[in-house]
Amino acid sequence: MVSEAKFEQLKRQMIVALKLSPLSESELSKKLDTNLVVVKRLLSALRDEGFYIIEKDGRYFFYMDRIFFHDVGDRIRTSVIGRKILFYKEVDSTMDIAREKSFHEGLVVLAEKQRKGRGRRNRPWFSPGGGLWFSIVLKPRMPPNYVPLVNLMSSLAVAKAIRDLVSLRASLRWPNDVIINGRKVCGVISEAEYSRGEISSVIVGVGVNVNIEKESLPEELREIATSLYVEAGYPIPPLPLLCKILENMDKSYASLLKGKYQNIVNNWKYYSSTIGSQVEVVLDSEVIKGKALDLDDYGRLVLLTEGGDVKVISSGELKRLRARSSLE
Amino acid sequence: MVIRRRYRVTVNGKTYEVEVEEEGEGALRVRAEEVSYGKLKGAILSPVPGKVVKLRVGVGDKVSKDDLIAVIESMKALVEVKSPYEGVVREVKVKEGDFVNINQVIVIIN
Repeated sequence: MVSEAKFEQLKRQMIVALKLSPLSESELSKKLDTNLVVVKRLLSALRDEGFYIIEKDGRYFFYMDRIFFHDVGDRIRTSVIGRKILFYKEVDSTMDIAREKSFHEGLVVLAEKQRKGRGRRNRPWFSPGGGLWFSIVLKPRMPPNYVPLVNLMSSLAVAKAIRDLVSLRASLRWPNDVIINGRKVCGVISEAEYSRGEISSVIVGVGVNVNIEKESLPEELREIATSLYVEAGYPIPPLPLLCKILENMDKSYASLLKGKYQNIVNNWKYYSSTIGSQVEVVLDSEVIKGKALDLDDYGRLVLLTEGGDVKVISSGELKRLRARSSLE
Repeated sequence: MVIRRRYRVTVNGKTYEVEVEEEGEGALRVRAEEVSYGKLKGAILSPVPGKVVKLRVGVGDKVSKDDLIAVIESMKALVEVKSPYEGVVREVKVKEGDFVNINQVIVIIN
């Protein structure tokens, strides 16, 4: 056993050691003159504190100091989104907090970890340290029928930011998944309140798998999900990515409020891997196969079915996607 | 680049969806459509096209203003439709799992 004071001292020594060079567990144990059990405890304690330590081929890299998300506010240039930012080390769900504070337009609720992150239909959303998990409060004064475009706008903001900053070919799968090499790297949900003829608030939740190692993804997700770290092969600084996403969203939101719905839809189509592909849309009991032709002004998917009909889809699960070219 | 904007305009108690399209300098094209609940009092309409994922009321239920009536999923956005009226549910026009269009009646309250 090591005392608490000794443990703290070892933590500092470990940071210093890892900053100099990547080390394996046994090398760390020699360097710090302690046993492997303590080394493992130190690693997990540092990670819990938010330090980015990444393992590759049996060696640990010190990647970066704790990100102080508190700094986001000083770094971004936006007019609405991120005017106020709340940062939490760990929460049940950023969606719940944002909902409680839904009077505050532009509020961003960020968490390093979520205990009960959720996707649609209350499916759990795996949100350990190393990802970007945040919710945004919007109060769009616009015709309610265009409000679902907020979802498309958010996934577009993420795909653009990834392409610009990480040089990975992120693309969009209708309506709001961000995909790299066929696997999902980001999901978006939104929950709107409609009353007395207007939308009073929309809470948008965004989850981006940034520095998550493949081994730490739950097994059932490994086939369908990925992370930027897995795809790029190196860790990605999360703070610039977050700033870029918020800035992209802010710009799109401004054009949405000006009624430029086609801007959002056209940009979405440009980043999409769906349009032009053969798709299957799973409705409750029915599967519609066909070719994705277009998106209409509301963001609905226009499908040419195998039977030759044109169908407009507003809700459904997009399954199995044959890409339009081998480049996808 | 065509700029199209939609407004909801109420004139003498009637509500219209108005779509305005700029057709070059100083030229506008305007289309207006009366919103059906202007005629059908007590009807709660779906604001978006999509699927009814939750229906919270049945015939005979008492509802207050801002009570949750239904949740519609549209492009994976969940829209909680709340009652603008207080009253009793007279008719329920959809069931969970149904697909609805924009301005399709969900329930009628009086």
